[in-house]
Amino acid sequence: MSSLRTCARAAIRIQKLTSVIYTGERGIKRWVAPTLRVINKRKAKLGPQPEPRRSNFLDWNYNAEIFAFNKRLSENFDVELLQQAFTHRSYVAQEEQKQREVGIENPELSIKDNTDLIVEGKCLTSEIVERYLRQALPRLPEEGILKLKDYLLSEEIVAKVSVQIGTKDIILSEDHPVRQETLVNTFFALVAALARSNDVVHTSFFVRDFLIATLSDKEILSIWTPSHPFQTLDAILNREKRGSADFRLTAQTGVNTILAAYQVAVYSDQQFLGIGTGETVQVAKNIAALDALQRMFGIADFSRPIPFNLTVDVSSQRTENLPLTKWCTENLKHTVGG
Amino acid sequence: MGNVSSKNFVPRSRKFVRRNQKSFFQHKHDRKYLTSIMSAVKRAQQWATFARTWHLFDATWQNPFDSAQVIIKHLMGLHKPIYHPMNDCGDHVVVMNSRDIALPGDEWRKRVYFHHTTYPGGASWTLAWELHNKNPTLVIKKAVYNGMDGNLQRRHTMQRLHVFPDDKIPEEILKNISNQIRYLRPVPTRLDHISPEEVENYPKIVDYPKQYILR
Amino acid sequence: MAAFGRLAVNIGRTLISQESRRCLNLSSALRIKEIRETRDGKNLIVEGVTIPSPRVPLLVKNTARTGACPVCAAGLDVKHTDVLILSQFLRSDGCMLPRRVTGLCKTQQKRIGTMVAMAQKAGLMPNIAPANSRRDPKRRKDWKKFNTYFDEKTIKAKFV
Repeated sequence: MSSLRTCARAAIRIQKLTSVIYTGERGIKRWVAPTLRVINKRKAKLGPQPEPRRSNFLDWNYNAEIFAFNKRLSENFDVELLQQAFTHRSYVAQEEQKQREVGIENPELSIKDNTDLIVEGKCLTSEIVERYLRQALPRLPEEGILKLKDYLLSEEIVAKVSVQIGTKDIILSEDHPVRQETLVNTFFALVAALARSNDVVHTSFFVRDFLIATLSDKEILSIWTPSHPFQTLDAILNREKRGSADFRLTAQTGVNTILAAYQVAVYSDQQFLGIGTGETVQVAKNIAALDALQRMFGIADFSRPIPFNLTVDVSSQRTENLPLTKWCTENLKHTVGG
Repeated sequence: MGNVSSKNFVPRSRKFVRRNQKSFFQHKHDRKYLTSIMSAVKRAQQWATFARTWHLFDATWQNPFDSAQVIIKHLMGLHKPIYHPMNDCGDHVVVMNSRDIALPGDEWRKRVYFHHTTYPGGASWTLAWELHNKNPTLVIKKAVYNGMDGNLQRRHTMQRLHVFPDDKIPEEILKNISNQIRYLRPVPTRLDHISPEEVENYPKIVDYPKQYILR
Repeated sequence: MAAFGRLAVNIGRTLISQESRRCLNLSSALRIKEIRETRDGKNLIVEGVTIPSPRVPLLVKNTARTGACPVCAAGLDVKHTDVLILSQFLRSDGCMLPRRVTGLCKTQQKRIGTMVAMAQKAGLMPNIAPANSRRDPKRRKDWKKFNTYFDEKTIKAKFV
């Protein structure tokens, strides 16, 4: 009997345990609505408010934020360098102005700003990105590599990365809300600070993991497209001593409708090169040529994805990829091999 | 984007991107690269994915109600991996020789089509063979229409069905066709359409008795 | 009374025409047994010769030791659309041959008979029909001119 009782007790306990599981609820409770309505009304009455500065909040602890930044990214920034990377020239000027207003003639602040870090970081990032792209995409022509580099180092992309690693609130700058340019400069300063704290190889990992990795979900052809696919394809085939591009209509449907679709495939010496679809035969031919090129350059949908685990050697000699005017499989072997 | 020479190509793709700007790319930093977010190749892939294929179905000796299930599948795009009820991805189906459909057993006499004019005494019952006499496309049309769920999409889907009583299909429709739907039941061969030599040389199962007089 | 009347008519016929009195038929359809006339000098020899059936070389051998009927022994799943098989069991006017001629078992005889009817309704054997019938199935009346097919599962005669 007692064993039965213990069993029952155990069962009750298990039930209690399972009932702890939190179930989320959707929507707002009926009785909350009037309050929310009033709050919203008051907000509307006040008009648009300036974005609050996070550092003005009572619970703001700058040192803790700096420490957390380091830990969050699993990096070994030198704390002083890290603080310097976040401090912009405009902030220092603002502080000096404040002291002057108080009455101090020659304000002497021991704060270092990040002006030289920015310049240094910009060069370093550019170098790392360029070398990494060449290593990761050896078949892509040099034109494409440069365009990809421009894309990665563009203000929009770097600023986005900068925001996403959590610099926005820690930046010490005059402007508020923080301008894109400031965000970008901070990222470059961080790169330089990391290079000084650690070494260049480690910095290249930082750039690879946060900046170059944004390419993972991008279609490379949407960033760079060869400008004259027909001529480019013909020139490449000519250089490879293969027959000229032979376009064949492989499928068509709804020819008499506005939704006509033509499928054209390119062949050279009976060898399939690429396939394209379009609303007219001409468009389809263009796409087919582009498809053939992207297959050659190894940037098609089904090609091996860009590797994000390479190590770049910044100190080694610079080797450029083949430009479009010299691109052919034979030359490629020499470059990639050597 | 400037790689394609056709005029009506580039604006369309930009239009597509612009329309979806709000929903896809809400972050303000994405804006500069919005115009090149979809490459020409991707756009072409999209065009190919949503292209409406024109199928041909020969209804000779086919059961219209069994055929309707296959036709519906193609009309609604149920055979496509991109199918979704709110995704307009249905194909066109051209049905030829609808006069030669076949019904099982005594269905020509037993199947009844009901109609009511909404006036008192306005009910009428038409047998399948009578309806087929009046309009040889109606049996298969009604089979397809009744085979689908009754929703707002049904009448639009029906617009993609083109039924012809014989093999005289207008040239402009014939040019659109790019696929044929396989028949569901083999078309039987009439004995008088088989050559006498083949009939004579076909293996025989039974022989006549010795004294049998042929008639 | 009716039988008596028919007899009278027959006697009348024999009196009128000499041809119909002959009980041997000479039309070319009667290939199994043929009448041959050979003139040897003054003698005219008329003989009935039994000719081997043209089906003999094409015959499917019945290897069943159990004495199964030809269709059962062949192991065929005959459909009503298999007109090349079904027409083997028919007379030239489309009537089914009796069982003592076909040599089929009861069930197969019934099944084949039903399938022959199905094929005829579907208009698949329009050339094997009475001489006065409408040969073209498209010219039949009402629902009969439309294509119809049948399901062999509906045949009542079957092996359980």
